Amino acid sequence: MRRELAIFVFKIAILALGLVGTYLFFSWNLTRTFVADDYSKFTHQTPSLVLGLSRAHYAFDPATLDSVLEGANYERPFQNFAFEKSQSPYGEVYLGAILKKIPENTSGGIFIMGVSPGSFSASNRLVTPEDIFEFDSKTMLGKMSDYNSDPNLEFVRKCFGRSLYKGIFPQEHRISTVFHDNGWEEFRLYAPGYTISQADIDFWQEETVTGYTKLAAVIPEHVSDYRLEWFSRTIDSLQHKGRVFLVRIPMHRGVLALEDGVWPSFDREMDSIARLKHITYLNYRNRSEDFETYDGSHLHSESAKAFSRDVARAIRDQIEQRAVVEYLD
Amino acid sequence: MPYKRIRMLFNSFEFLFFFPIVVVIFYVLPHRYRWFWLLLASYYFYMAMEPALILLLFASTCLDYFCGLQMHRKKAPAVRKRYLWMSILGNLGMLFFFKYLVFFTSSSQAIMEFFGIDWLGGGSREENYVFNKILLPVGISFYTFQTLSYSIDVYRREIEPVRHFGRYALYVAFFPQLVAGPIERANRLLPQFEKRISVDLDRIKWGIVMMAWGFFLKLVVADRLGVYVDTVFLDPSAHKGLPLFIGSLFFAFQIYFDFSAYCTIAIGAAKVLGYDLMQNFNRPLFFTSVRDFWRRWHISLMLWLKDYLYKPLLSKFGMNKILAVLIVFFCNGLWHGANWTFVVWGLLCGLLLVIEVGTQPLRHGILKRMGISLANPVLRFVTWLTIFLSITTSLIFFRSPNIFHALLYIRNMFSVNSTFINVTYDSTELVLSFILVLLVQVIHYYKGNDRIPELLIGRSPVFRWGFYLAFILVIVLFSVNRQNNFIYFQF
Repeated sequence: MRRELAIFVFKIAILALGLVGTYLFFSWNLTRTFVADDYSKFTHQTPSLVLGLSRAHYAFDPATLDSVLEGANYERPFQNFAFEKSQSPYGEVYLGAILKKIPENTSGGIFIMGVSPGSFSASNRLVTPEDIFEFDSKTMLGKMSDYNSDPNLEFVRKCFGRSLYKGIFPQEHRISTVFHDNGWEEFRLYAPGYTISQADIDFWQEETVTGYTKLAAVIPEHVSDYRLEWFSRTIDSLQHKGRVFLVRIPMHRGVLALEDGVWPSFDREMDSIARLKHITYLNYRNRSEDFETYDGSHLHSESAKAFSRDVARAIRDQIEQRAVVEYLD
Repeated sequence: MPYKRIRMLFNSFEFLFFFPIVVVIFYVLPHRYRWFWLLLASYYFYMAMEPALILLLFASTCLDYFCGLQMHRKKAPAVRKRYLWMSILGNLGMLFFFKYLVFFTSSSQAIMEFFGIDWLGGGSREENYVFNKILLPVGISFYTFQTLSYSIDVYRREIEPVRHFGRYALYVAFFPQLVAGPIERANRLLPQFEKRISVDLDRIKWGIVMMAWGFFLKLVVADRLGVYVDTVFLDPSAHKGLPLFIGSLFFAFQIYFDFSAYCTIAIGAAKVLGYDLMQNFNRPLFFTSVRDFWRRWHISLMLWLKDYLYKPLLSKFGMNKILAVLIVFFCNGLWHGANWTFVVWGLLCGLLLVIEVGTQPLRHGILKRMGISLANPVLRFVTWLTIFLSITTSLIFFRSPNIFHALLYIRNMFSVNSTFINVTYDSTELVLSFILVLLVQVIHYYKGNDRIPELLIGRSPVFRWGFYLAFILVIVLFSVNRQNNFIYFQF
C-alpha cells in the first residue's frame, strides 16, 4: 500500500508540475505576442508619466512629448500610464501603482495629470472611503502588484481575460487603433483600406453625448472627497519626484456642457489647487476646434500628436521660465 | 487601512494550494482529530471570503444544535413545537435580515410611493437605506436550508439529534458544499463523519477526475459562454433578434455548466476526503416533460422544497395542488435572489408545470383521436423543444438586473431583423462555444453527470496518460481567464 501510495503521489506531482509548466510556458509565449491593450504599461519603470483616464490615454503621445522636450532638464522617457474604461480615477490604488512605476531615485521627472470631473467621481453606491477603495481594488491597477516586469506573467494571470491559445495564433487587431510600447493608444482616422468619415465622427460624437447622459441616469455619480483627497496626495508625492502639470484635455462641446452641468466650478477649483500646490494648470477646455476628437471625448491620432506638441511646448516654457526665476533668485 | 481579501473560490489559485494541504493533513491525522481539522479548514475557507460573517454561520449552527437537542429531550409536543419554531424563525429571520430586508423595504417604499406616501422620509431609495450596507453572507440560502432540514427532521423524529457539537458544526460548514450546495440532509452526511476513512486510491482518483471535469466545465465551457452572455445582456437595446436568442440559449447552458461544475468539484473534493455528496444534476437537458426537468435540475433544492414545503402545504393545510405548486415555485424563485426578476422566473416555471399537468388529459385526448402515439419521436422532439425554449426564455428574467431589462430583452429578441451573431467579434470563440456545448452534452448522454471517471476505468496506461496530457493542454490553452465567481455563489 505504501509503495502504491508513493507512486500515486509521484504521479500527481508529475501531473501538477506538468500543469504548472505548461501554464507558465504558454503564458510566456503569449507575452511574446500582442497580449492586451494595456499590457505595455505594465512592463517597465519610467521617470516621467502621463496620468489620468481614457482621454489622457488617447491624447498624449509620449514620443512627441520627449521629442519636443528634448534638451529640457528632465528625466526621460515618458510613458502613458492613463487607462481606458475608468480604470484609473485618482485614489489610493492609482497612487500606489504610480509610485511603483517611478524609479526610486527619480527627482527630475515630469508628471502630466489629466483632469476632468470623471477623475474625481464615484458611483452613488460607493459611500465610504472603504467602499471606493474596494471598488478601485477590483480595477486592473488594484489587482496588480507588479507593474514593471517583462514578461509580466502576473498581468497574464490577473488581467488577460481570454484563453492562452490566442498566443499561438495571430491576434486580431483593430484596424483603427495602434498600441504603442510607450502606453499610448493611437486612434487613426486613415489606414489602408479604411477611412473614418466626418459622418462617422459626427455620429459617434452624438452617441457619446447621449451615452453619457444615459449613463448618468442609470449609474448616478457624485464628486468624491476621497478622490479629491488622494488627488492632492498624488500631487504631493509626485512633487518629490519632479514637476507636476495639471491638464484639462479638449473635448466636444456637448460633452463639455454635460461636465459643466455636473461640476460648474471645476476649472476654478483646479486653478485653486494648482495655485495652492505651486503647479501649473493647463486648461484646454475651449480648444475643441484646434484638437478634434473622434468620438466627442477622445482625440484622434493627428489631434493627439498636435496636442502633445502644444502641451510639451507649454511645459518647456514653464521649465525655462522657472529656470530663469531660479537663476535670478 | 482597508485590506485585500483572499479569493477562496474553487477556480482560484489559492484553492489549488488550500485543498492539497487539507487532504494531506486530513489523512495524516488520527480519526478522532479529523473532524476538528475539517471544521478548521471549512471555517478558514469561509472566512477567506468575509471573516465577520463566520459569526452568523456559527450562530445558526448553535441555534439548531441547541434546538435539536431540546426537541429530542422534551416530550411535550407543545414544547417541542416551540423549539422547532425557534429554529425556523431564527434561521429564516437571519436569512430575511441579510438577504431580503433591503428588497422588502425598497419594494414596500415603491408601493407606498405609488400611493403618494413617502414613509422613509424622502431622497432616493438607494441613498436612504442604512440597510444597503448589509453584506449578503455567501451561501446563506444553502446553509440555512441545510440546518432547517436538520431541525425539522429531528422534530419529526426522523433522525436523532447529534450530541457532538463539532461534528454538527462540520455538517453545517463542510467546505466542499458550504457555499453552493448540494443541500445535504443530516441523515446522509452526519453518519459519514462518524465512520473511519482510510486511504483508498481508487476513490481518491475518482474524486480527482470529478474535480478535473468540474474545472473543465467551469473554466473552459461556462466562462466561455459567459463572455457572449455578458455582452448581449449588458445592453439588449444594442442588439436585435438572433444574437439575443443565442445569448439566452447560451445563458441556459452557462448556468447549467457553471452550477453543475461547482457541484461536480464539490462532489469530487468530498470524495477525495472519503465522503459522498448527493448528485445535484441528472442530465437535466434530457428531460421528457417539465416535471421530469425539475426531477433532474438542482435536485437537492427541489427535494428540499418538496419535503419541507410542498408536502406540508398539501397534508397540513389541505391546499389545492396548483396553488401549492405556485407557492413552491414562488419560494424557489425568491430563494435564488432578492429581486422581482427571480420571483417572476420562479412563477413562470411554476406556471409551466401547472399548464403541463392541467392540460395533460386534453392533450392526450387530442393525440389519441389523431392517432399519434406518445412515443412518436417527432412529437417527443417538439415537446422537448417547446419546454426547452420556454425554460430558456424564463431564464432571461433570472439573468436580467430588473424586469424592464428582461422585457426589453425579450421584445428585442423577437424583433427579427439581425442575423449578425458575432457580437463579441471573435468568430473562433463563437464556434468553439457551440462545439463545447455539444461535446459536453454527448459526454453527459453517455456517462451522466456523475460517472465521468468511467471514461478512464479499464483503459491502458498509454490511453490514460495521453488523456491526462491532452486534458492539461486543453485546460491551460482553452480556459477563459476571467476568474469569475460561480453564479450560485451569490445565492
